Amino acid sequence: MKSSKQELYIFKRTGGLSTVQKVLSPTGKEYRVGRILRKQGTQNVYECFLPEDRMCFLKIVSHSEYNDLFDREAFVLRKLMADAVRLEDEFAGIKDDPNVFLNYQFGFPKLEESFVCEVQDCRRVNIVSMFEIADKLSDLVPLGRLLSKEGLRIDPRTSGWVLGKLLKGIVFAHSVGVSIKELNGGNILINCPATVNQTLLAEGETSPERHLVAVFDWAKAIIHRDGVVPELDARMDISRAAMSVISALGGDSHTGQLPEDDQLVDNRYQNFLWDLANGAECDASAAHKKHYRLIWSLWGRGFWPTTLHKIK
Amino acid sequence: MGKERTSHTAYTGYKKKAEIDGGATRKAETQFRSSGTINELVDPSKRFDVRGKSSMYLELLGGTPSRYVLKRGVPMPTETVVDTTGSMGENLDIILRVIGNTYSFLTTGKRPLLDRYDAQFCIGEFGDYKDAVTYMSTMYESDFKVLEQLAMMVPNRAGQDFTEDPIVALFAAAYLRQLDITRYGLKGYHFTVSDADTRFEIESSTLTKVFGAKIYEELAKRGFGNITSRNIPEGQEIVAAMKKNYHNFFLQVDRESETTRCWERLYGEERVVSLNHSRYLPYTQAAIIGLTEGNLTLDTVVDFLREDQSAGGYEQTSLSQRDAEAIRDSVVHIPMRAQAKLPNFKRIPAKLSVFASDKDLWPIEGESIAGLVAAEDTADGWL
Repeated sequence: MKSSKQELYIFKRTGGLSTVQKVLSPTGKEYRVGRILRKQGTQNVYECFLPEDRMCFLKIVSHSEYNDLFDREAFVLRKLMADAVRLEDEFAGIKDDPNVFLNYQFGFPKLEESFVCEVQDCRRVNIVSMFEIADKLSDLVPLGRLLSKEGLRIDPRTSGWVLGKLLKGIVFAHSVGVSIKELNGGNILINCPATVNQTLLAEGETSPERHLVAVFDWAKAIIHRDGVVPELDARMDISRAAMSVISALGGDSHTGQLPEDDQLVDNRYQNFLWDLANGAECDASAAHKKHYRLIWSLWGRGFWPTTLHKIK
Repeated sequence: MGKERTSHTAYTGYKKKAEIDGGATRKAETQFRSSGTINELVDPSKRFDVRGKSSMYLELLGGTPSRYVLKRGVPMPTETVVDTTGSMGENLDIILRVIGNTYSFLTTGKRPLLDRYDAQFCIGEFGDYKDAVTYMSTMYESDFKVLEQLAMMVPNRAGQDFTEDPIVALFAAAYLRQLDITRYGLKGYHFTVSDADTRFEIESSTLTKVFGAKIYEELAKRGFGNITSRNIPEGQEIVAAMKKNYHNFFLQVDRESETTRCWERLYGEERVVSLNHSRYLPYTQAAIIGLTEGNLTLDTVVDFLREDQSAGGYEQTSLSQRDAEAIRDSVVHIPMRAQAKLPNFKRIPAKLSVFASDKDLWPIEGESIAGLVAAEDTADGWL
């Protein structure tokens, strides 16, 4: 869809960074654009505010030749949302406990709008929100940044729920014929008002409902023909998820060796992660079941607050 | 996600269908009686290559430079040819009933004996050269397609003279197989199940009846141009050629001494094994394969055979201590660790090894899926 308003502009052409601007989309919605958050070869991501001051993300391709990436991303996100809603409705019809939900929609951003911006060289824009996942932008952390920028690693029990949620998201995506591809520390966001060195920083404990993990960018996701994700694609998604968690644990990406931790009484968890990273599983549902069986046997069931440690 | 290649649901489906039809091969037999036709998937005269679509499969992993991954491991062929004459006529039905146990022991159970490979199964049946059907077989399949094809076969059931012609099946195993496992210097597994002895000679008319008029042309293409209608190898020569491809065993039902002597002459004493009944086939095969691969010893084989393999997804017929010991006793004399002693046994490419080309035999040393994933560009761009 092309914007029809000539006075619309998003970014000043000085250095590509914006001060707050306004964007009026073809549907008439007005977005306030804030600071740049992410810069990649094919796209940039900006802070963006909906009229009611709710924060979302404005993604714009860096050149119109990449428009198809966002075209596909928009399609994927719409499909995922429709499938998540459908499955939730089906589940509602059979569940025993009315307070239990599938909540697959927490695993990916919600597409607010997608359009081609004429005044910006006809580049495609995707507006996405993650309100369900975090109230504040600062609560959302790319998993890989904890280590690379903050020198922090997650502890094994934290990695247990992170990987569990990731695998749940992969189970959902694969079940509707989508392979994710971009599963790495930069694209996996966790809701993380965290503890550091087991000292609580945030007020109050993180509630279980807020243990959320989402894949941010879906531009490289593939919707497979006949709704079936090929085995190798499935394996690679699971492998990448495991590798991301190994890295976030401060583990060695070449050997799978994890740092010593009191929570690791034997090698089972380390071996399990390394097997996943080496492509041992092509069935996300089986991996998900095995994962929870293992972590429950190691650490029991029950809530564990997000816990980080400084890398020595 | 990838589909289950062997699944309890699929297996149960095939068993149910056989029940409804009145036998695993009932429909194929009815069709054969009325029209004389056999499905070409199981007719050796219609196809020489028995490799299924899942033979040594390398898939492009992508990236620059290109990489290929060995998805399921090097194919390990396990061929079982059964006598279907006279009292052996129910063997294909028995195989259908017990093959779930075979999968459990070899591929899907707690400690699968062929886990490092892509185990592939082929089922054949044989009769007498005078029978309408002397030999037929399925393709090599990793999954339950093999049962689909089993249902297309036509067992002989009738028995004429005692001596049968499994030698035709051995001929196929010797000269009409191209096995990836042999490129690594290892061998597949071949089991012949019968209560009868075998002729050692094959008439040219039998070869052309079973394999079609182009058999000699096909043999020449495969480097066996010396085999002509006037120069057909016999017994021991066939077995010597077969041994290049397989660890071969004769599983003898009943204790007919003439049968034992015949097969000991052909195979050697160490490769003739007693089989109390065809329903013990999965157990005896598992014991033989485990001992040959070296992942079982005589100390551990009894417990292994009695272990609960239901994690593999199949109901398991429980084996008594006595029966398990009897099976162990029946295999004590086989050449143990014969596979494990072969030079490249430890070097066989593991599942998910990474290759530079789908023509390569050996993977790239030190590369792995984890290594490729770790090397992916993950510059996240967040500011």
